[in-house]
Order: sequence, then C-alpha cells, then structure tokens
Amino acid sequence: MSAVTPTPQVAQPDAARVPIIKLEGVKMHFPITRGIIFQRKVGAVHAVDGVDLELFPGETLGLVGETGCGKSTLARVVMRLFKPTEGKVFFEGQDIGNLKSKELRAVRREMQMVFQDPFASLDPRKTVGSIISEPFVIHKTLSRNKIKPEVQQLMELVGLNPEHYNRFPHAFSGGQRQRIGIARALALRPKVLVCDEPVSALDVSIQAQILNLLEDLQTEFNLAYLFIAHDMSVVKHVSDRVAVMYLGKIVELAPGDELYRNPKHPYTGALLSAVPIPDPDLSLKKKRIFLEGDVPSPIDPPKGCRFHPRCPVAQLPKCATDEPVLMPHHPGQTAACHFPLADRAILGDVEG
Amino acid sequence: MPEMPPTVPGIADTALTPRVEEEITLTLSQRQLAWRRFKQNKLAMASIFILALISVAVVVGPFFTGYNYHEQDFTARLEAPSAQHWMGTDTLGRDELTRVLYGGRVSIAVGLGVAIVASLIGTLIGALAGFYGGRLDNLLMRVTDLFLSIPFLVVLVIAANALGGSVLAIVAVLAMFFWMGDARIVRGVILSLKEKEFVEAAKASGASNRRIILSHLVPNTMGPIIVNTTLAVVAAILTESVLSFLGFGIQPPVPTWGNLLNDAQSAMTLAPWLVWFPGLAIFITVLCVNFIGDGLRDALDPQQKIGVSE
Amino acid sequence: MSEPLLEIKDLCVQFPTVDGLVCAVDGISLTVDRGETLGVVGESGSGKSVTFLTVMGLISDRQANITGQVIFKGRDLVQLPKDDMRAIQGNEITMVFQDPLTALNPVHKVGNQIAEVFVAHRDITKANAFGEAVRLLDLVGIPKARDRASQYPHEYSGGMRQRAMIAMALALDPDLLIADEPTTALDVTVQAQILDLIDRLKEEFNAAVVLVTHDLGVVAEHCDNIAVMYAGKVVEFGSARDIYYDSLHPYTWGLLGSVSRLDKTRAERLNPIKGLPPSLIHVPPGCAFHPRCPHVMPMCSTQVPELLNIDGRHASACHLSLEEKKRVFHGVKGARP
Repeated sequence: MSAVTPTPQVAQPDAARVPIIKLEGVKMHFPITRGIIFQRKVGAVHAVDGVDLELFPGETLGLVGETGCGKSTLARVVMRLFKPTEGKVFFEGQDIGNLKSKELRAVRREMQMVFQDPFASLDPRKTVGSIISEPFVIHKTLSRNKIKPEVQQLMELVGLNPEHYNRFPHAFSGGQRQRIGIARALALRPKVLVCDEPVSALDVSIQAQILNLLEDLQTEFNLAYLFIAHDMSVVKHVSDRVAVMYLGKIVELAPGDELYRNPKHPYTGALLSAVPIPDPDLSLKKKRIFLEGDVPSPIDPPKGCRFHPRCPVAQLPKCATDEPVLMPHHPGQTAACHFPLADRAILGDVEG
Repeated sequence: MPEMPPTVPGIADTALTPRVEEEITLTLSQRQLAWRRFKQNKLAMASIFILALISVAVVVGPFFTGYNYHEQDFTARLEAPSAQHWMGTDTLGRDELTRVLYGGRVSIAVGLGVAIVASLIGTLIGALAGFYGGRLDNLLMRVTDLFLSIPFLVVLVIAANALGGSVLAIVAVLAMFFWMGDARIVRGVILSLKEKEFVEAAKASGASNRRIILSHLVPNTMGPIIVNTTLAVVAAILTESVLSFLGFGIQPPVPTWGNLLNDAQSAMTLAPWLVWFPGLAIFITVLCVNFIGDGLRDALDPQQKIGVSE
Repeated sequence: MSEPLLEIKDLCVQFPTVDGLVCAVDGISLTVDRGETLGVVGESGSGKSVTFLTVMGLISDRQANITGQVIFKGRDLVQLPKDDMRAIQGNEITMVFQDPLTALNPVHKVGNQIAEVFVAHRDITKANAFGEAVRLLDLVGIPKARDRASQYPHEYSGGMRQRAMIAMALALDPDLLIADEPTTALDVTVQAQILDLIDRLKEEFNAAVVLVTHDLGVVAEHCDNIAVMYAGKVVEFGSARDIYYDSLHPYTWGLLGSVSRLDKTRAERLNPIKGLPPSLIHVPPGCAFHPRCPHVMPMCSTQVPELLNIDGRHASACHLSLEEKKRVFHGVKGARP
C-alpha cells in the first residue's frame, strides 16, 4: 500500500495510443495507356493523392465522400489489394508495402473486408459453409473436422441459421448475404475490419439490423473498423472519428459529433447541408450551402485547392494557387482550408 | 419514439419460415436449378432422348446387325432396303445399316473428342489471358487471332493428308482449329468476374492465384463453356463430314457418315437411299445437339435466379 | 375540395411467374391533388414502383393481371385503349426514372431525344423542336445548353443526365410528374440540387409530383403528403407532419426507428424491424406485416386491416386501437413538439 495519494487517472492522450494501421503519404495512381501492340502511358487517374491516416484499435474511423473521392481505392490500399504508387502502409508498426506473398498472407489474417454488393461478394457456385470456411482452408488453421462446427458457430454469431450450411447464396436475401460476408470476414478473428459501403445496397430496416450487428461484434471482439460510406447519417451513427475525402485527399478529420456540429471545411458543410433529415421541421432549420456543377474527374485535378472551382467561399487567387494543408481546429479536428467555416455553420440550430 | 424490442441475433432472421416448396428450392445448387429449368424445355428434353437412342444404337447396334462393316458381298450390291438389309447395301455389297451405325460411332466420337480437347485448350488459354492480362493477354489473344485468320479448311486438308487418316490424327487436327471460340469466351467471362467482389474477398483472405483461378473463376465460366462445347460438337461433326466427304478425312474402309456420303455419290441415281440414310443421320444428330445447346443456354442463363425475392 | 388529379382505386397488379403469382400491388387506393407533392415510401417489394409504372401504362395487361381503376382527369387509364394512352404518356403524365444512363438512348444526341417528345405530341417541325429542347436544357440548369444539346448521354455527368430527363419530362407541361427514385443513384450534393430543381419547376409548371423513394429524409423535406407502402398495400397515409410526428402504424415506427439521423448522437442505438421482407408469392395471411410486428395480436394473422381514416386525411391500416397507437408512439420518450 502506497502512502502517496494516488494521482487521478488522466485519459491517455491520442498521441500515446499506438495506431494499428497507419498510412503515410499514400498515393494510388492508375495509369491510362494507349496503344495496340505497345502501350504507352498518357495520363493517370489520381485516385488517392497523398493521404495520412491512423486507425486505432477498437475505434471506428468513418471515411465519407462522393463518387471519385478515392475512398474505395483507399480501402483497397489499406487491405493491400493494391500496392500504393507512393507512400507507406503500416500494420502494427510493420511496413506492409513490400511484403512477399507469404508474409502478406500472415498479415491478411489480421485484417479483413466486408464488401458493398451482397450479390457479387459471394461466389455463386459455392455453398455458404464453403464460403465461410475458405479462410480456414487457405491458412490451414483448423483440421478438417473442426471446420464445420466453427463455421456454424460463426453463422449463429451473425444471426444466420446454422442449418443452412449447405445452401447457396442465391437462397438468401441481401441482408442475409451481408451477414455471410461478415461471418467470412470474422473467421480468423481479425483485428481490423474494412467495411466498404456495407449497408448501401440494403433496405432501410435491414440496414439497421446489420449496423447493430456490426456494433455488437465490435464490442465483443474489440475490432477496429474503417467504415466507408457515402451516407453521412450512417457514418455519423457508427463512427468515433470521421474523415471527409475529396478528389483523393482528406479535407477534414474530426471526432464524429464535432464534425457535425462544427464543420470547418466548406465541402463538409455542403455535404451536411445536402443530407436530408427525416424530420420536416428540423430539416427547415438546416442552413444550406449549394454547390455548383458536378464532381470533377480525378484524372486532372484542379490546381491549388482541389475544391476551389465549386467552393462557395473560395477567394482567388489564393485558393487557385496554394494547396491548403490540414490545420488543427477544435480538439482532434483538422481541416484543409484557407477560409474555414464558422462554428455551428450548418446544423447549429438542428441539434437539440 | 416507441421502444421496439432489441434484435436478438439468431432469432431475427429465422422468424419467417418459408413453405416446403421454397425450402427445397433453397437447398439446390446452381447445377440442380439449371437442370430444373432445362427440364421445362420440351424440345431439348426430346432431343436428349433421341440422342440417347442414337448413342445406344451406334455403340451396341453394330453387334446385332449380323454383318460386319467391311463385309463385301458382290451378289448383293446396291440393294434397296429389305428385310435382310434394313438400309440396303452399298456399291460393294456391304450392309448399309451396319456401316451407318459404325460410322455414327466414329462421327460422334470425333465430334465429342474435338469439342472436349478444344475446350480444354481454349479454357486454359482464355483463363490465363483473362486473369493475368497485360502482355500475356496481348500475346495469347494475338495467337488466337492468328489461328482465326488461317483458312482452316485448306490447312486441315493438308494436315490430314500429312498425318494420315486415322481417327486420332483427325481429332488432333480439328481440335487445333476449334479452341479459339472457347478461349475468347472464357477470357471475356473471367475479365468480368475478376472485378467481382467475391474474387477480391478471396484475395483478401490470402488465396493464391492458382486457387482463385481454379476454385473460383473457372467453375463460374462453366455455363458458357458447356454451351459452346455443345455447339462445337455440331461444328466438329459437320466439319468431319465435309472432310471425309471430300476424301481427306478418315479413310475407308473405316466408315464415317461423311465418307458414306462420298461413297454414295457415284450411285446416287441408282441407289438414292445411300445418300438419305447417312445424311438423315447427320441431320438428326446435329439438330438434336443444337436443341440441347439452346436449352442449355437458356437453363444456364445467370440472370435467372430462383430464390428468395428481395 | 376540388376533384383530385389522379385517383387510384383498389389497384391490384399480379405477375404470373414460374414460381407462382407475384402480388406486386395488392389493392391500393391513393389520390393526388393538383399542385401537390406526394411521397410514396417503401422498401424493396413494397410495390411502389409497380404502382406508378402501371399508372404510366408501362405495364401492359399481357405482362400482368391488372384490376382496379386509375382515374386521371376523369378517365380510367386501365381501360384506355393503347393509342389514347400513348397520347397521355410523355404529355400529360410523365416519368423520371432512377438510372438516367439506361433511360436515355446512348446513340442519339440528348437534344434530339428531347425534341422527339415534341414531335410525337405536337405539330411542330424538327428544327423548332430542337430549339425548344435547348430552351428546356437551359431551364433545368445545364450550362451552355446549345452546345450540350448536340452531345450524347455518355458525355454528360450523372446529375446532368438526370436534369436532361427532367427536361424531357417537363417538355410538354404535364399535369403529373412521377419521379421513381430519381436521385438514388446520385451523389448527395447532386441529389440536393436535383430535388430542389424539381421543387422549383413544379411551382413554375404548376404540376403535381409523385416522389417514389425509399429515403425517409427526402420525403420529409420535399413532400406534402406521404403514403407508406408495405407488401403491395398502403399501410399509412398522411401529411408529412402526421407521418413523422404522429405516425400510427408499427411499420412506420419501425422505419423511423431504423433510420440513422444527423440529429441523433452516436450513443442512441437503432431500433430495426426484426425479420425479413415477405415473399410476394406467399404473402403472410391477414396483415402482411404481422410476422414482424412487435405489437401483433391474434386477429392480425387472420383479418386484413383496412386503411381507415383517422383524422382528416391521416389513415392507417392496423388493428391496434387509436389509443393503443398513440400510447405506443408517444410512449417512453414523450411526444415530439
């Protein structure tokens, strides 16, 4: 027993937590080639163009953005399904960018993916049991006779009837197929789950079932989620922190509630103001930011701030020449903008 | 907001029990479902039945006719169909029925042999080209284009002459010119499947390329391959017939439907039945295979799904 | 009250299929008044799209068994001969679809496709029709309309294609515009632009709009009245305020409880509806929702509840008594202002 008065527990600052996944300066460019016999590069799609990111154990990091922002590509770089054109990807401190296939396979056990399309993400010719047991077979972690009971246990865990082991994907509804995909992802008890629009293709009532399931699984297995979606309402509901992407870069990163209360980047503001709220009175209290035009192509991003051609608060010449970097605002919040929004700009009057 | 009871995982999804018929459908594999659909095509089912009859006839028949296919009988030349010779006799007094049946063995065997060998070659090439892409794809596809540009009948004739008229030689030569269709089809299917998420999922699970190709991609190309192979059988039978008719294919005395037609040429006015019987045999066989191919194409159509509606 | 523009009475649409008879629409009755925006909300299989495809005459009696009436400006469209229906399609009733890429013909210039609508229904030369098309493209906010009219659909972005579709739909000053999931395939910022455009143009053209969607947020922001559909029937009907602040059907409660909302905090858990959507071939007996309803009573599995008016136009199809419904809805959390 110490005679010294114990110091009150101070919450560990974020800096002291070790990220389980870390991205540094990651770029993913897809070359555009022309030519029949010999192909030469004429340009590139700058899908991801310089992203730094950290994912901490047990947290949910939401990644939100519209078409062409690069979020799906980024997910696949994190999963090492793509090798980044530039930059480094660290898993538990280890650089996985240049791993040989055997070592990479070991890392694959620790992070898994849940896909968007419940109809395309399962091999239509395999039984459900065979689909979920594939990770066990590939990594040879279980003997043959132990696989089936393990798979059935996984099926129960995600809310499927274990007696349907021998059925085929076409016998299941969209929501059930997503559950199968989740069971497959959990087979080897990974530490990270990358969810690429896991509920976008589902009906509203089924979405809620799956989101609750993901929440329960996260608590039970202390999973870290990288949750990618275009639906801001869903992302807000599931995420601890949210990153907003535009044309291959992260333009704002903040804890969930903070992002929604005090968005700093005008694009975040525009996204928030565009999201319909299922409440006639509250939706009238939302402040509107209107964007002109459509999302430009990532082949030739605008110079300076990529958002400036559509930005309602852009000021030339600065925004067209200087590319803004992520600057801190509220605690835990960074945004890349020369003229950030004031506090409570969009939903200020909406929340309670 | 009213408090709804929390979802209990496990109970939630089995709240609705489908009726018995749906239960049965739900456990069927793609293959079984396809068979169910196929059965509804009356023409295709009839064709299978007829083809089965023909197959039995050509395999077993020659033993029961009482004649040999090369047994010559100069006293019974060019006889019309009768009780002793159901299909009459040819210019050398050989029993036409036996020759047609035996010829069927050869023609059908050649057809099947060519189609299967060509499918194997084509699938391999198409799978490699589609999966690996890039320069390998380029190379393999240019080779395919090359083969498609060759006037194959000419080369066939030359090659058949050079290699001799044995069944094996003809099958080998014909297979050389039948694999291209499969290659292109398989490559196309694999190109589109490659991007599907279940392939990404397999990669994310750590599956090797070999596993992905053999276990995931190729089984999903089975549908188009089977259909194409069926149609290749037709083409092979017809091509062999033409070759043999022209005198370049399988050499007598081994009968094939093609060279039976060749033999019949000279006696056409005197014994027209010698043209009808082999001709009819080719026609009916090919027609049946075509109908089966159509039936398979409809049954294997991936757009059709019998299952729980969304 | 003036006569409604569109009155659907007891419409039933059944599709014969290999597996059985699919009851896509199972007796629905709805009205649309002039100048109103009606939202029709439902999930997959609710029958919302089939209903309005039938109204538009896009589902023929060769494909399906159609019974009931669809009365538009005094005429029953179900009974109308093909030529008369064709005169109305694209002219008095028009439709905007979900995927503009497939709704527009990729081998014709956009301007020509819009011009075609004029040529089909009005006595006008091709050149003049093209001029009208350019005017319309400008009206829907497409920049450099004259140049854009000579382009092909693949040269347009998703949002622009949808604007072009709206232009085509409004070309002949229709009385009724049906928008079937018009923004589901679009990004959220573009969605906001398109919905605002529809609102604005609706005023200018004095048209009625039916917005068919699964998005509860969209109908809250843009619709006057809302019909909630489930398994081919309307289960609740009312004004936007009725549905969101006074809803009287367990399915509506379930939907509202399932939706993620920007104004909710992370800690508030979603309340999904248990179970799966029903098969349309083997629809559950009685109330189609009963297997999933947390307030199910014995009579729910035997008697089909009728859509009964409760207060003004607010109607609900549920066996629970009015007091029960109010008690449950306003129960634990207390009533919303």
